[in-house]
Amino acid sequence: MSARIEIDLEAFRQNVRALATIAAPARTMLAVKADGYGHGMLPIARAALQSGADSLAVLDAPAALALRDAGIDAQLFAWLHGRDTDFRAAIEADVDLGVSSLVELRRIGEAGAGRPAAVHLKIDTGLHRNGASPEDWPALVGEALAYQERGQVRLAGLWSHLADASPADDAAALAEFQAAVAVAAGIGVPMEGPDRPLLHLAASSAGIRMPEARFDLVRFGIAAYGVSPFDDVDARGLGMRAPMTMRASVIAADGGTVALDLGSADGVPPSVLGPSGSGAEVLLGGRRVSVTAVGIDTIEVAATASVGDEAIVFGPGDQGEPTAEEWAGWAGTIGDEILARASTRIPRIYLNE
Amino acid sequence: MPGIRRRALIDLDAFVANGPGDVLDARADAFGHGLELIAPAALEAGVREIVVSNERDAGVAIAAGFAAGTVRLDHEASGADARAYGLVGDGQPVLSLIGEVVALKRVPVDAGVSYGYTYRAPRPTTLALVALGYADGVPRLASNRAQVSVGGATFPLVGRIAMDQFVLDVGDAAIELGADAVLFGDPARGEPSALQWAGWTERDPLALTAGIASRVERSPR
Repeated sequence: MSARIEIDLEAFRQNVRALATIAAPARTMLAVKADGYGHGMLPIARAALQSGADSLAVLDAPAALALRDAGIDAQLFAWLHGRDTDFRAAIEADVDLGVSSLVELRRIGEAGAGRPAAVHLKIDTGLHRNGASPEDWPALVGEALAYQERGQVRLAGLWSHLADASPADDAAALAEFQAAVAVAAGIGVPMEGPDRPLLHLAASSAGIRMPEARFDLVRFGIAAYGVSPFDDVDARGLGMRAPMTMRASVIAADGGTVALDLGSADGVPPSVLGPSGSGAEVLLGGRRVSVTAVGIDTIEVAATASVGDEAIVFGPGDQGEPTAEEWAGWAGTIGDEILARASTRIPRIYLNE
Repeated sequence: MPGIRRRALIDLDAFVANGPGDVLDARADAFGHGLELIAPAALEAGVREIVVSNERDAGVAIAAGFAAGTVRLDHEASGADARAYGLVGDGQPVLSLIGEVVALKRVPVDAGVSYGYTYRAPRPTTLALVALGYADGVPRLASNRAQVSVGGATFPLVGRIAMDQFVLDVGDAAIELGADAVLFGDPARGEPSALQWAGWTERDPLALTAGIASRVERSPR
């Protein structure tokens, strides 16, 4: 068989179950953005909802609409919006919307949808991407409450995102989040009862190691895809198994050099052979062999093999093959980038659907 | 439905002017330029044989008007013609990669930016959030290295590139929410070049453009 990507959905479900157990009693939201971290958004979304996640984080409104069109009726959360984003369609499809600014809140409140928009107000706790600055926070909360009174929005959440810079930095961000929640309560946001908003801050890293950051809901991402969010332990050390295996076939063999049928256009990072790289290996004929060139459609490895022989570029590591985490180390990046760049032009084969 | 703008604009006039020659290497979806746009332009430019990566791309070339005998499937074509794509020598750049500024934020001195706070604002400044990330094919290696053009000026990309977004330090420049952020395009317009980006990301320029993800919409300039 030629180059392909296998996705073991049972491995993914087991990861989600384990993470949901860690997070409980907090709820588990699973991040399926970037086409399910390169695994295929829809199969991953279904598998997540079968195994302990009750909601999905999708990044932007069009991805949420694609899940609705496919029949997914779980809570969906989209938080990055553009000038052309169709908020009315998102609200009418019952998509929860992250809101970082008065500009966004007003566009959502005035979208003219036939129902209130479920909004999650974001406070910036130090990452300095989106999210309201502390000085803008009271006005954002106040105006959201006014829109709520008019029936145009429903204040469904207060949230932020951590920088994972250091335990001390994350503790400082947690304190800023708690302060912002207290400010919101002081303005009149109910913190008890059925109308109180969800509080959410933690993603994989804090969801696992920072219980005080779990609040009502943890947004798990990378750990569910079998990559550790930590430097000091790999995914297997966390009890997570990588669902994705990238396989290739030998298409030419000459002397001690073998060509495999996938390359950088399929997501193999060429930088492993650049100044920041430290080489790379694949599993061929039961042993690790060195990558000597990364082309667009092919990679070359130093080995003796026959045309048609199969290689594993990365996988869960069972057979001695490299993991995406190892490739990330070789390429000077993180496993998230290896997975999110995985090719959409070679077949994806789902196992244990 | 309309959402965040993630675009690759393809200058087909520049492609034709570059003179693609008799045989065009158009593997990997014309190295990320979009074979559906490039194949008809290649015919117009007099290309007689086109090299593609897979059966699907062969079908695209045939649909554009290439006779079946003039479409060659070849994984290992060597000497890819970067000149046709304006990625070597004095060729005109063909592809511009453009993201959208989706947030602007004034921050004080020492404000940390993105994961790990690998950049701290050296002075009070404005940060612009651009909605492209490594999932779109913006290599994470460009973090704290690359330059991006907004509104005719060029700014440093600061902090770590994330999966779907990165940050620019735009100083005191007046940037509009929703503005285009040109990662690379035509240096003649004052934009960074794909060759610069190839250096920052430690790869061949054709690998850089071939790595642009499918969620980035290709359209003619």
